[in-house]
Amino acid sequence: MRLTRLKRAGFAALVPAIVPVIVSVFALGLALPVLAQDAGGGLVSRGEYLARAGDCAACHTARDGKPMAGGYVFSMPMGKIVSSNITPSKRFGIGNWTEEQFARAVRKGVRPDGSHLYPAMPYPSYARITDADMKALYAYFRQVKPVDAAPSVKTSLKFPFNLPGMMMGWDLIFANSGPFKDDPKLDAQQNRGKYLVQGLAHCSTCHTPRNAFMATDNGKYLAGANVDGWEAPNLTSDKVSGLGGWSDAEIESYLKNGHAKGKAQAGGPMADAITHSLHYLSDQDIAAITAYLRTVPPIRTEGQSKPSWAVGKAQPVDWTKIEPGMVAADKPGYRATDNTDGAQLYNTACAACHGINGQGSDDGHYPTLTNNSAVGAPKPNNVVMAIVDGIHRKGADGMAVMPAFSASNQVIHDTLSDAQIASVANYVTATFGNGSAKLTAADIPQIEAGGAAPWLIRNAATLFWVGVAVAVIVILLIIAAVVMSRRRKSAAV
Amino acid sequence: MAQDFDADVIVVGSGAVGSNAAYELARQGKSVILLEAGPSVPRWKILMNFRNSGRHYDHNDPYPNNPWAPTSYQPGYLQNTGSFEMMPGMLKLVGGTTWHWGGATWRYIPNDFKLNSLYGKGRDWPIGYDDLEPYYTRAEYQLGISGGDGEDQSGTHKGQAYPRRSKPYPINAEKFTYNAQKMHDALGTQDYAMCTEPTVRIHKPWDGRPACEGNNNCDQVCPIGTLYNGSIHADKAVRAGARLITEAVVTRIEVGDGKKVRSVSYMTPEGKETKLTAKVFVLAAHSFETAKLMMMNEVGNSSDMVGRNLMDHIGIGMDLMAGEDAMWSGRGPVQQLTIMNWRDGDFRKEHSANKTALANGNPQISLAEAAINEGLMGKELDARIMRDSARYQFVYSFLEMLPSPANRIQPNPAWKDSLGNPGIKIHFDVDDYVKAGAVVAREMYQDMAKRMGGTIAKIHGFENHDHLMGTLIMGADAKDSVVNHEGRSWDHDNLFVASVGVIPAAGVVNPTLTAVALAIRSADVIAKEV
Amino acid sequence: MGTAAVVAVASGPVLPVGAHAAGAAATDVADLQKMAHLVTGKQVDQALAERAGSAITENHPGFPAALAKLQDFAASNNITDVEMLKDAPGFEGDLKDTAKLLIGALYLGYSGTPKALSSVDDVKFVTYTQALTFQLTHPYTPIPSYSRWGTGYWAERPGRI
Repeated sequence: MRLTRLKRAGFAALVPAIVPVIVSVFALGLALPVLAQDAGGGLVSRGEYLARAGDCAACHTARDGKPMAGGYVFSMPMGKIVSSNITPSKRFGIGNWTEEQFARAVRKGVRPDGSHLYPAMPYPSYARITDADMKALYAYFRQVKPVDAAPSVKTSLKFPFNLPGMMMGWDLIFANSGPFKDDPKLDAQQNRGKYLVQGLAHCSTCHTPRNAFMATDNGKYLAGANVDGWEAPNLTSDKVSGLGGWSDAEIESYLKNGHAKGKAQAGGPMADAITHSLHYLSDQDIAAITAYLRTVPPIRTEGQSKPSWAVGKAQPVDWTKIEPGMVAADKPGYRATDNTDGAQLYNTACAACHGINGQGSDDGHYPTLTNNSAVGAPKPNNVVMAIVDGIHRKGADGMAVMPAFSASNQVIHDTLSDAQIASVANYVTATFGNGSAKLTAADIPQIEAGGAAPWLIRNAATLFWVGVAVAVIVILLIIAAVVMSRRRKSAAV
Repeated sequence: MAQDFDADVIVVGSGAVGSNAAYELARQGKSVILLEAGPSVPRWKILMNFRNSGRHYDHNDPYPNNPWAPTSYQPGYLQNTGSFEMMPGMLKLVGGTTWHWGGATWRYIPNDFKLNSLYGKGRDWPIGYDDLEPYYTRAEYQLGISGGDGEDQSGTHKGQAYPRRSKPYPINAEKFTYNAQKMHDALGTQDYAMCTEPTVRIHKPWDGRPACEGNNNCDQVCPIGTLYNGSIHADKAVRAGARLITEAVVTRIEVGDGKKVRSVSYMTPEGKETKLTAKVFVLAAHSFETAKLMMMNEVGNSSDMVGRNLMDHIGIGMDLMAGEDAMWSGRGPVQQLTIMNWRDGDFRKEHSANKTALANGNPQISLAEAAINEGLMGKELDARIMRDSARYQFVYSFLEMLPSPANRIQPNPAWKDSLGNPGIKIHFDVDDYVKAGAVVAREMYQDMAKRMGGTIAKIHGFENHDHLMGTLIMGADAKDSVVNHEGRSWDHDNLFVASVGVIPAAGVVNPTLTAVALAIRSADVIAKEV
Repeated sequence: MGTAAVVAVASGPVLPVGAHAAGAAATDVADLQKMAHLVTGKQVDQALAERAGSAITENHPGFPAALAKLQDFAASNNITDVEMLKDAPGFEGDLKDTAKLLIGALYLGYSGTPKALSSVDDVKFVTYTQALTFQLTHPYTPIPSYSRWGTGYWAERPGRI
């Protein structure tokens, strides 16, 4: 259910068309050997650290499945992509792969037999992994416990995405970065951060918007994007839309613990990234990521004039609105579940933790909703998604759970209908934020679905039959567009 | 074959026990129908009802009192004819009565299963601790329980972990509350056998439930879903493929060839009747309603034991004004520190055992009410409320009850709900075994008060604690028990009972975990047969 | 005069909580609020005073008149606060019972006589969060179901966090 969507963090959600079977290797990386050694020790333990940084297990382990044995299912508009067994099983895993073959799969998305992975596997990012780190990763994966079984579910894609060679053209155009090289304009720490951000941690996968072909739009590098309904925020150094107003300590706390007081909390795919990957990183690597993010050129979100976390008014709520009194216990009103009063629903579903006035708990344990990035954001997505999915996260400072409230995800017998979720989100943003949510019931499934699938994906089958000639023209146009955007990117980054 | 039945298994009752049976069977691929007399009400609605009623002292109050399936406090629904007024709080909705409970989930200790052989009192179980241990473990992992792995819970195995466990608790024990720690320190481990109460109110997240934040509202409704209740497994059963039918009051049980139960029929609130067939039936409508249903239909009662042997943990308690002025009941867990000095020992030949514990509910409204009635006003009133709130501690004990056929419930046709179904008549007396045990508990109260430098404001008389065992008693002999060790009716091969009502020896610990463990055990038996 | 207006509220039909506001003139509410202050020594919010008055009146139709008597008593004896009132000669019997009714509704958040183990009694809802008892104990304990601290706070000495 919901885990499926949470995990598809990388490409999956975003890339309906292109989901690699080898999911997470991307992160593996290029880590600076020295730092990585500090963090890990020998080759295998360094490889383990890198595999965590790359979040391999998140996608290559099925729910309740054996580690790295694959079977995690990405459900996408083009069909199902299932992650593969990357244990050293000779028959079902990668036990027969040489280091070169391993590196090629991780960096180029090509298996030893020549078949192409789907970019659910973030190989365009993992391409940045250095040779030294690749060696460590290989060493680590050689000694993972082999699982001699194939995932019980098989990848099945709709036409035309199931055609052999489909991914080859995409790879030619979009997956062509090489191993990371130090940027002379950056210092050693910033370079280390850049290596992690662009390589193993594959931040761009979610935080850079995608173009019509589901490749990252590098002209908007780290400017924020929608992932599976969640808004992955702008990580540029912009003071209003990005991280420019955050202190180093706040960014570091967020990456390690999943939350930064008065700023934001990680939910959805980012909570997964914290849980499975980022909270394991060394303080030095966290600091390096922070240092590098400071250097990312600012991009302002159009129309935004105030940071999301700076929005909020702490003011007492009128208690008579939340304590209207009840009918008698033997009357239908006592069991009726159709109330759509946002104030009353907020008070009963949210206020036990977030406070009647949205102030959070007195000791900061539960986040305030005023001065909260999710509530003050231009779009209400993350408020809605937190209600729909809940929050499930493990950071360096412990576990955090907010229960889910949608019918399909709730586990504490606490369902809100789409209309009720809309009312609560409207109340929360109006009372504690900037009133950005003007939602109706119909908006909720739309937000959950992450908006409509890209035109190209929806119309792929039709396009296919339009003919080779048109396709060629389209491909030429794509190449042209990509080349141009790359130029912009190199100018910008 | 399957087409001949509406389901492989029909489970009647969606409380903690029935829902766990339904989930186990659905998870193992069986087709399951789960019938619930009450409605399905989301948590937020129950909380809304709670916070918008002035009747917080009535723990049933936030829950719908359905005219067709009333709560136990509907006037007339329970009628007592004995010397003791037995008025347990029972609910009718998806998830059942565990919507309001302290969340205590103890295991019985091995000697509890052999009460009669060891001490010559009451009855033995037809199984032993070792038979149930694996199911205790499964139940603990289903419910998500926090407990102290290294602790002695028996009071007789000082310094050891006891009883034996095949797996650690899913979640470790939390720190004591401030007042519990103070009490613990004042009593001292030399003379007092103290341990942490195992609880489904968890201090770390589990299975999508958040960690406890100390709302101190377990006995009314947990606002955040930390405290487990049966609705969690009702929902899990549905996700595993079970069909849940709510507002379905089962009234009729039909027996066919070979004394097998053929069908059950339920009524909607409007009185429409629907018959459902299955290969196996599990009655899990709690102790009273299950017994009532069996008696209404003259099913499974060849022993004449259905509805008899009613045992509760009849208890006493004391209002203690502690010497220290910062004790403040009402912070965090409502139950936690437990005293097991009198859980087990040869004294059980003479008087009942007891479990004694510190209750930590918020007493302030009651304290304020007393002060206002006394005539205090202004600064004096405020000072009294603050002084009493800072010191008041409630200590209570469960006493072990023995099964007596004379303590019983029966359908009461003199009272009818909106569908014309009968109420419940109760006859209950407290026996000398319990009375003798209460003397011992009261002596301990005096000692506790002394050690805590406090004064006893009041000792409460016998009160029921809603642990309704014995009415569906399990045994080794068809002549004097209702079900066998599998929970299977002696009279009908395909009829099982899953309820605290099957428990034949009450011990002194809260029985829900044991009933869930037994239900999972029954489900395994059933799964092999359908 | 305030008195007469309160009586008008009292003799009206029994309405659900909150429905009274529309029917009552501002002065009635103001008088109730003043009396709430007088018997508690606290500033009581207008809505709370009004709800307390309505809830009491449902069980005690004579309450508005009784409250008017208490108001007159205070006025004629120049009693301006609760500490003077509680020790004032003649403050007893019906006068004191009337004050206790109002104090109870404000401190407890309900009015009426609780009946244990029954779904039916005459208790009427006033408020949950605004009950003066909870306002008083606020630094030490959460209002049940509205915790204000994180997991484990209960191990700390009350009042420290």
